[in-house]
Amino acid sequence: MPTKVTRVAESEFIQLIQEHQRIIHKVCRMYVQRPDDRDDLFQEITLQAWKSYPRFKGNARFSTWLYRVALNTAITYYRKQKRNPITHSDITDYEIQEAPSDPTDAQFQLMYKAIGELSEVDKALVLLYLEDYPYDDIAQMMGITANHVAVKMNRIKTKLQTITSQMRFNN
Amino acid sequence: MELDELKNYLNRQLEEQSPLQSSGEISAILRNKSIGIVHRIRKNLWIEFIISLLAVVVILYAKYLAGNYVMQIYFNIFLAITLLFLPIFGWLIRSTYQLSPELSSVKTNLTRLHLLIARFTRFYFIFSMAIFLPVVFYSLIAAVYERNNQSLMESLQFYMHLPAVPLLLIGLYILVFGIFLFFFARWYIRLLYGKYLDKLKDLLMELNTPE
Repeated sequence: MPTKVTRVAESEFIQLIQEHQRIIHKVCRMYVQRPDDRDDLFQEITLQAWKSYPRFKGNARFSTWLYRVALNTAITYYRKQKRNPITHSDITDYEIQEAPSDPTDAQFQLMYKAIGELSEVDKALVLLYLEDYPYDDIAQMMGITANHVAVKMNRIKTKLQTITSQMRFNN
Repeated sequence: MELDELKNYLNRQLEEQSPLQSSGEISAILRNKSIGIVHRIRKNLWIEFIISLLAVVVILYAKYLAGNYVMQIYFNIFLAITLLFLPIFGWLIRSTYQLSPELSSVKTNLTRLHLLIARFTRFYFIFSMAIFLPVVFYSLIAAVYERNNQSLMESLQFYMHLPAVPLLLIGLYILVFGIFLFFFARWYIRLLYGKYLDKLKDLLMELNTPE
């Protein structure tokens, strides 16, 4: 039976997750394509965060702490082969449903799709970059130097340009 | 288009398309069990640990019941192997609790996870081989002992004095069985964790790539 302290911690944690759940959704969306897989990953990140919550000291921002948990969980997320493995047509169907009518949005969609082609490590860097984290913070979260982050970000930009050009050419 | 321009788009997409969870839904998630790999490995290790503990009790009882010398040695070998692996399983279980995604960087977390799974698969393989090979060897000895009620040395001598063909066949049987087990265990472990270990290795290599 949960104690009073546990119940207080739980309600406090639930409130924090509710406030910051967009971070988890963002990470899930970045790492997993299929909606039911996203739900599984959302659950796994939330559970990992809950297990780690007693060690959250509060000297870091909750959002930064949650990003760390979410990224570590998503990058190492182990997906067993599904009963119905995802096919290219599944992805395409899913994207068609979301396909924007605005040409600018279509361009963004292309870029978004290109990010999906990056490795897990590169996706993490892009996510943190999009969140406006300074290179020093990204370096700390990733376990590499700030200089390495800068070099990697330049390589990612080049990679994205190549992927989007290829996608445009294929279309 | 620059990557920076994507920021607003990404946030807008997420706001429009991600169903926000209510406090009740989040609370329900907290009651669920983890589906992560560390949880799975920990569960497997606990099962191995408990089975090994039970095996010790069963072996001790069987050893007590076994009257003959050959079976006593047979059970002693099993007991020694099981007792040797018990602390290893315990140590691996402890390592799974030391992985904390909130404290370590992505690189440290990947390194620790890779090390844990590599160790787990290595010991699992050694354990499988260590258990099965004595079974083959001693089943041969026991077969002669049970039939002729001979001593251990006499049972060994029985094989030494066998004509070349049956001896060769027995040797071949042990060899084929051993090779089969070796490759089967390797294949099975690789099937379970091989691809995942390769993925972790690739990610680590990516993070370790010179600047």
